[in-house]
Amino acid sequence: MTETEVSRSGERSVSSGDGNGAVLRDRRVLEAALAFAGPEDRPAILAQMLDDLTRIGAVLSDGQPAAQLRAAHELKGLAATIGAVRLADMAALMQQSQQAEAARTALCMAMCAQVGQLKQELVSFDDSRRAT
Amino acid sequence: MTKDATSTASVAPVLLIEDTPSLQMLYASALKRHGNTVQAHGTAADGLASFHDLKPDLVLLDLILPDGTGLEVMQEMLAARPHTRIIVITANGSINKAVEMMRAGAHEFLVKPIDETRLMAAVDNARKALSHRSAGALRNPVAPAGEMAPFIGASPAMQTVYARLRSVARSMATVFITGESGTGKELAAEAVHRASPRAKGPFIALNCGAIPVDLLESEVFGHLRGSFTGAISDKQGAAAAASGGTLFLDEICEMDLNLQTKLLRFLQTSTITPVGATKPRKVDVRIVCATNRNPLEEVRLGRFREDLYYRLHVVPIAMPPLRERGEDVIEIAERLLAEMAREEERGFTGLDEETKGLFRGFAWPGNVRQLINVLRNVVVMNDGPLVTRAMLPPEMTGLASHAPPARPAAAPAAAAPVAEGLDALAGRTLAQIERMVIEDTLRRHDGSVPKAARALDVSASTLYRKLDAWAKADAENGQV
Repeated sequence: MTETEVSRSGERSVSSGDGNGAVLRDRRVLEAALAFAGPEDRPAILAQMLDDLTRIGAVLSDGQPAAQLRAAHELKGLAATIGAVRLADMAALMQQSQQAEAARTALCMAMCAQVGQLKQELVSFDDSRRAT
Repeated sequence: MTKDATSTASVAPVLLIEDTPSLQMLYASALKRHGNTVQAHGTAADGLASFHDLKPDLVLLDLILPDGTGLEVMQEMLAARPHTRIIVITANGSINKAVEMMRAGAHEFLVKPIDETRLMAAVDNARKALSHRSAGALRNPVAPAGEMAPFIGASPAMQTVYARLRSVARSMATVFITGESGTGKELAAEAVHRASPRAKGPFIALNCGAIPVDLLESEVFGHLRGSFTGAISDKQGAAAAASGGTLFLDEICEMDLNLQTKLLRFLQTSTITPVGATKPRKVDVRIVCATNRNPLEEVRLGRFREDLYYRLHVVPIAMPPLRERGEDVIEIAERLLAEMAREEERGFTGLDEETKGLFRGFAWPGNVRQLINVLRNVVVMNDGPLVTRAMLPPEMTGLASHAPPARPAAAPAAAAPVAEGLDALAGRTLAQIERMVIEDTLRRHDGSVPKAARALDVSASTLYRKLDAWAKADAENGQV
């Protein structure tokens, strides 16, 4: 899947999900996480988060099972840190159970969609932060 | 993976090993903002190379790395520099592995998502432990063979306990002490505190089984004036009182489930919210807890939260029953006998050989507390120079073997068997009725205090305290 296809898939799956639709349920969690860092470091950290999500999304989309499991572990920590709770739970689910291949593939696709959506929300967050 | 080394302060560097680049940047930036020098890496190999090069005293280590496990990295670090304080970072769901890391020597573990308060508290605690060590405030972890205050006895069973207590004392790991009633669980908690860098701080003990359920939250977390009926002034709870030191939660399995939830939150955040307060406040405590129940059984029965169990059950210490401590029973008896004889102005100098044989062969279901009761009864009711068989309670001389548990030392002097129906209770005081019921229950369980306690749904230590109090009262009243 190309990134565009993942993003569009993410839009469809998220819009058909719960009412809120956002991967970042509460942006204050992301703000609190970024408040950890010095103000001069925050733009670079946000940019690195986007890079990390792009890399993780690619592995989930096209990687081997072992690589997908490692990517899921990384995603669990990152998603939990910025408040993408549902995505963190999905990543934890992938780690905890020995999934059949079809189920693992479906879970990876669902996570890819959520990752794509999350990236858009982070970009939007960054844009609104720069505007203020 | 990224590598970043930035000197912003004169403090010793923190080595950070975290494989997700954005999280690595986040933690490094937070640490720098608080005046730390940070060296960050994303792989086990790079982290270890930097460790051997820089020799840092403090490491933040992710549990799972792309080229190795946090456990392997930590073991190599501690083998090279045993005093290194290693704070493990783990994602939710890896608690069991984090517990394994603590047992292997990690100083503390943090669960993602990590908030700034928790991260800096962990770093501060580790730095304090390091400064105490360099100032010589830490006790030598390799203590000479023998006893460990305040315990008496150098049996192999207790040597194992002493080694474990000394080992765990130097870290911030939560200690979970199990053992039958009267085996010295609170003494073990005190020993951990005394041997730790927090020895100069307060040691606050709270018996979760002895405090009414509706008051326990206030006892642990404090309350504000007016927060409930009877709260006529602000109260500092045990957690706040123990800040800088150790909080010992005895009979932890008797804690109400609602309060367990709040305790879990406290353990996760190091903050407390007194009853009636709106703002949490940070406290710095090391937790030691104890129970005479089987904690996993309590979890299975739904009476104890599984997540709280794993959060608390980091370093387990099992206190051996007195019957498994060999000659310790004689050593303890002789030392306590000497103290009691001085207090009561009696001429006792020791135990005769027959008494020693009976003590060695007795099951001691009430353990050291029962031994204390027996000795006190002997000293009050007799005079020396030696303790003889004739001075001992009948259940000891008649049932001198390990298999059947004996009756407790305090004989039921003022009791009568409970008659059928309530007629036998009419006209008696509540205290008398309580004593009749307890003593009848003991008879029904062949004198086993733990079994009677379970039947009555109270802790065994509660029964032993009552038996002790009755024995003293009977002695004062001249009753046998």
